[in-house]
Amino acid sequence: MPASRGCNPDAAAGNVEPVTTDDSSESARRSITGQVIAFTAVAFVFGITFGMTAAAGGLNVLETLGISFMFAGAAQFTVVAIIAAGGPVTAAIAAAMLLNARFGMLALAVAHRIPMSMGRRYLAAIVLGDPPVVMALGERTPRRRERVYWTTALITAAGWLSGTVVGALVEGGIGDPNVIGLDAALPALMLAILGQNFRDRPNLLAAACGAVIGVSLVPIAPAGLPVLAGGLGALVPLLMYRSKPTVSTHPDEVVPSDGESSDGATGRGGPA
Amino acid sequence: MSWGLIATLVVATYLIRVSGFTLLVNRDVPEVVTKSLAYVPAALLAALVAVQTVTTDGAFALDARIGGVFAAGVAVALRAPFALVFVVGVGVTALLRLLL
Repeated sequence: MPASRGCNPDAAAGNVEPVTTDDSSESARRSITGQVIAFTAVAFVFGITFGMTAAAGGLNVLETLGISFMFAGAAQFTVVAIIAAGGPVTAAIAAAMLLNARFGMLALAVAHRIPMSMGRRYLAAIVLGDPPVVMALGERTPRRRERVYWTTALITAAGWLSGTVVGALVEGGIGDPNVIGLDAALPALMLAILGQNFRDRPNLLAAACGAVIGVSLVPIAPAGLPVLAGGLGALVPLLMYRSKPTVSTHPDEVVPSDGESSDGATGRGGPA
Repeated sequence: MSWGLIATLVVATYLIRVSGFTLLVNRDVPEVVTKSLAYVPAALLAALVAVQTVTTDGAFALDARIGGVFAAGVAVALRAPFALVFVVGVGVTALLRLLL
């Protein structure tokens, strides 16, 4: 296992996070429940706004629901806007794919940290979004990672789809949700989760660089590209910390051998 | 909107996700690749938060959100609990919008 390679004096000094099995800890579970509820509530309300937008753009309820199976808010709004404005279909597809490319990059980066059998991966990819990924990465054991991934993904997806239908049916029945700060809800949620799971210095550096790259590209790049390019911020800590061996990040490097292994892996306990 | 377009969008989006989620699994991946990917979630999500905060429909739109998300960031730095961060972010945005 690369994680246990002996070049890390911190490990001997006990500076490595204790790998506790807080699996059954009541408070941990409660906070996860709260976070899933928060993401789902936001997904539901955003779903409503998408449903309203799509209805206003001339889509019927079934079409609106169908397009929501993209599970990609920004891309969906963009597609509806382009089509409603009479834009070409190819432009709509291209814009949507550019916005969705970041899901591919995220999936690529976290696949080995979220252990799952290959068969399940094909299903899990349908609902792969930011909430399930960040929620799963916050878990210590492989088994909990998979479970939290599925729980978060399915519940938020259900919230998104049902919100979409509600929005398509009420047709302008609710006012502008941005009055109550809804447009800040998603960034605030993500920030809260990021702050919780990525507190170490290399991650903070990567995050800061990603944010700067993203924002600075906004004026010159088409929507989607700035965020994607922000992912390159991940390389900065690698260059900065190259001389010293990186502080071992997570117990992530416990690479799952896939298949049946997810259950057995929980027994791995601490580095005792 | 045609069902052909809807199906194309749904399938293409799925292909993007599934390729990322399976491509490097069960494969010998050079260490340089896994290392390069280690900090991608943080960088990518931070970029998303930042861009979402300052843009609407892909163009700069500076408004109350910035204050709200900044306040949420302060709350995160002070290790405020999750729910509080959320309430601060949304609440400050709504308040600023009311006042501005």
